[in-house]
Amino acid sequence: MCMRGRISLAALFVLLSATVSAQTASLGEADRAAQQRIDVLLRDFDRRGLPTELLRDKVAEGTAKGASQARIADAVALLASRVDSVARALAPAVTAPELHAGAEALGVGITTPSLQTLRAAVGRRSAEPYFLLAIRLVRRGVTQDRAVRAVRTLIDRVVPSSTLLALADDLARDVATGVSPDAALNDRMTRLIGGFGPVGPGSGTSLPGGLTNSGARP
Amino acid sequence: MNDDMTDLDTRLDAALSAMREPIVIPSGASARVAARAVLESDNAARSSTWWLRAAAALVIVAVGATALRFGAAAQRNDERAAAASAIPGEQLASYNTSPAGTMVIPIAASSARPIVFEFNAPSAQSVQVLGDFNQWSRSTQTMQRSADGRWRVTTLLPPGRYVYAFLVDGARFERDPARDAIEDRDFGVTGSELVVGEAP
Repeated sequence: MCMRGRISLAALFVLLSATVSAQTASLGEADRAAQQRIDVLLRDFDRRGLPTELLRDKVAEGTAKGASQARIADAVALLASRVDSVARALAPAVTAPELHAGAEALGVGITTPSLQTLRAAVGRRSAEPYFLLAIRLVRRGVTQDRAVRAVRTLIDRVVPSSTLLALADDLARDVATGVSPDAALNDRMTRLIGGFGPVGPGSGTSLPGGLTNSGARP
Repeated sequence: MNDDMTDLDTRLDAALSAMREPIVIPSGASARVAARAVLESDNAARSSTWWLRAAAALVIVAVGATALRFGAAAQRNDERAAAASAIPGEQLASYNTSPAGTMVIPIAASSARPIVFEFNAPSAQSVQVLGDFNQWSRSTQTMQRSADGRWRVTTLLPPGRYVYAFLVDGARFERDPARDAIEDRDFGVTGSELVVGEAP
């Protein structure tokens, strides 16, 4: 190789090294910034008496799944925002499992007013199993309004948690056979408690007991 | 003999005379003596009854701690009563009050139930189950391979909802085909959902 070739090769090597080094430094800086975002959220939760375990679990999940620090920070921030919304919506008191389930419910599109409605209906019981049922129904394809209405009805009927689990499983089987989620829910609710509102537009907007879906009396 | 007795009497008289002499105590000496006496008394007491003092201190600390606990419990009960309309049915352990006005009440752990995780991977070298019940740890739930090529592990879980996935050969995540798939919008790894109900 001639001298010019050697010089060109060396220059290329130096250039590549510099680029890689710059990228590594940039990545390190981004990781540090992401970690700082997470630390701020953790401190904020700690200061406000909210359970930091939920956020720490999300960090652990992201780490186990090999996600970048920035992506983990984004996920933690989203979760923190949802937990915060649930905590405010369910004030003055909420259990950690309710917070967790409530945040998950927001993630599938169930609104905070719906959570408030369910929580108000459960009275002395924990709202967590009812939030979980609503999540599972919505995940099966039941519309949010109908899911919340069904859960509210089951709360009023004091249906045991084992029956709630069975309902979600039965609905999953029905949907797997091709039945529409809302129709399957209607059928299962009819078998369980003798009746549930018709499937159709607007059928899920009113709740038993004269409450609207927002929890306010009409 | 008589000389000896006389000598002894003389020495006795001298000693008695000396003892009869008034003792002049310099000013402040009594206070110093008293202070020294107290100090030495304390030191003696400390050295001879240290165990008694330690025991007494322990009793005092224990009584104080109990009183504080009762006081705190009473205060907690008051505040729980205030929140009774929201969470009275739960067995409460402790709580934190957030500035946002929401009392976060961790509930006492319900009775856990044995849950069997099973995954079919005959050619895998290792399979672990990771989930939010074990903080996504790679070291806590290593599964055992059966002769039929299925990997199993049993773990105790309290009622609740859990998301998990199987980590095969430490490299790739697989969802549990026996349970509901959960789309993972955060990290893009589809997992499975497990809902554990109350024990019948």
